[in-house]
Amino acid sequence: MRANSMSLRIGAAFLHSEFLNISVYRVSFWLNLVYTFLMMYSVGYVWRALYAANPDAAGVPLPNMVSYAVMGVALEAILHPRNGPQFYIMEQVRKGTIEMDILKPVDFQFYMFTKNMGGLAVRFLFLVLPSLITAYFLFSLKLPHFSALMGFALSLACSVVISFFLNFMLGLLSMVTMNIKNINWGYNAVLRFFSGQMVPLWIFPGMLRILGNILPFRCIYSIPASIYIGNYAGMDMLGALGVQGTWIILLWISSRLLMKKVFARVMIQGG
Amino acid sequence: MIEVKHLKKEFKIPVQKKGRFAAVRNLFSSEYTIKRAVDDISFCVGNGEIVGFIGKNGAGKSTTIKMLSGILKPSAGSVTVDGIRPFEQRMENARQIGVVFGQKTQLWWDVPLIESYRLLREIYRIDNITYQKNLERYIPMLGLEEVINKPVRQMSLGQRVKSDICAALLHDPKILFLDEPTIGVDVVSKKYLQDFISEVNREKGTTVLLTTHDMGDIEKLCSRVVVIDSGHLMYDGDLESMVQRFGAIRSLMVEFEESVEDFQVANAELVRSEGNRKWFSFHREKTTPMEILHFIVGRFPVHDIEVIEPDIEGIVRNLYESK
Repeated sequence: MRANSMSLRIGAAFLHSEFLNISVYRVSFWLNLVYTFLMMYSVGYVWRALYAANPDAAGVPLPNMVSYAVMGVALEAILHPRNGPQFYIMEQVRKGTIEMDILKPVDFQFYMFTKNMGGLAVRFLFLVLPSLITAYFLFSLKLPHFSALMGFALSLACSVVISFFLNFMLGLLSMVTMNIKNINWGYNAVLRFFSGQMVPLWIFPGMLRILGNILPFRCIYSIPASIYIGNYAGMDMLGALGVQGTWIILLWISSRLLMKKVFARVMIQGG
Repeated sequence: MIEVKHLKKEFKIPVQKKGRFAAVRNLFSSEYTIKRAVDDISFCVGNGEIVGFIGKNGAGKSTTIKMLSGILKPSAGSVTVDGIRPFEQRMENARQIGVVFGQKTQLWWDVPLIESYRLLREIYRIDNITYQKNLERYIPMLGLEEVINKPVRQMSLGQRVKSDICAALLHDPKILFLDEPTIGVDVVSKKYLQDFISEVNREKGTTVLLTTHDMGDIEKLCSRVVVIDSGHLMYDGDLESMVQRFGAIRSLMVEFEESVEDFQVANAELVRSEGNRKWFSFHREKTTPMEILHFIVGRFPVHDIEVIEPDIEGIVRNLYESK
């Protein structure tokens, strides 16, 4: 309980400081909001045009498809790798101040997590919610059933944790390689493709679909958005949540192991 | 408080190949050279002491401080900080120490200073009373009132270092490691920092290990110094004995009534001649100012004299060169 209340307090402190951060970079914040609106509008438009040409384009009704695509764009505001902790870690490594972070009497992964969650909560409140509300009126989005909404909330929480673990491991890599800009760019491309953020995985051809189902990336966009539009309901939904849960455990273990290994190297080699 | 025994730290440095396809061969190379940054150093620091830790750039000072703060693993030997082994018990150690690296900040770049302090309060689990008391005490002492709402990226170097020292002391650490805190800092801020460090040391009994190139810091703050060079311990003892032992070369300035030709004096060396003045340097065990004067006064009309004691900077230079 003590650990929980402490993590909440550190989380609250980071939320506050990230809020101040975002208010410092106001221009970038407004640009982000405009970008999100424009992207939502264009994906909505593209899917309508596709359905006008071929009503069976994606195998689900048009309103569902538009909801899925809009959700993909809105969630990008919190799940895009640029919002992960890896850039903070990389910057600290390059400035040589990462030692000051390792010196703090708190678990490094936990520290990065709370710090990341602060920024994420702020972006969720000020980017994701306003864009979804706007989209609701713009595209007359359907609200899902109560059970789907609950499942979606739970699944979204899981996808946040999964994307954190993946981003965090990239950040650890930057302690070894100094620069992860290119790696991150590649990661983002793979993520967009195999997470179903742009195009839903279920319309992929054979091998690609199988690969997409094996990789963890679908946990990040595809699963929560599919639950939202009711593609995964009942047992399917539970199964999808189970997949997310399994990946959380796997990634948690592997990120701990990687952290141990990288820290040992940095502390023996002197970074 | 701090015990360092036969401490060693070796780094493996990959050998950079030269010649054809060097860049490619470097990618697959597994050749290393071993660099010994710290080589068999032992010293102790007692409770409440301020110890100056000096040495040239690359002498191994920062490496030692990193091992004391638990972010580097010693290759051999042992380190304990108030009974805690820093590397094995990094968290426990982190809670009892404060660290300031003059060139690195532990504060968050974009948020106002006070916000960084609030985060540290949560991270170090500082209770509210201690936190408030320390802030109210340290902010005016360091003159941080005007920057408390400024983010670190807008601060001058002096303001940043002062903010960092305040941050390192918020959780009442037992030991404070200061690694070149006054580097690049102006004279006024330097004075603030020196006064502040000695005040905190007196008031709270905080043990301080201070690395610096600034001999003013040493003279003002430290009663004891540890000197290292190329990873080896050169000297460990009080400041006065160091002056006695390594400040053996003194100088005598003699001003004559009129300009005189250069001349030699037994056991002393004429080092400078300028107008009516001449400077002689001599070893304190070989001769005395009186002997030299005795020789001179009989021959030339003397107007004024001055005995110049070596400054610490000169002593340290002697020490490095005497190796």
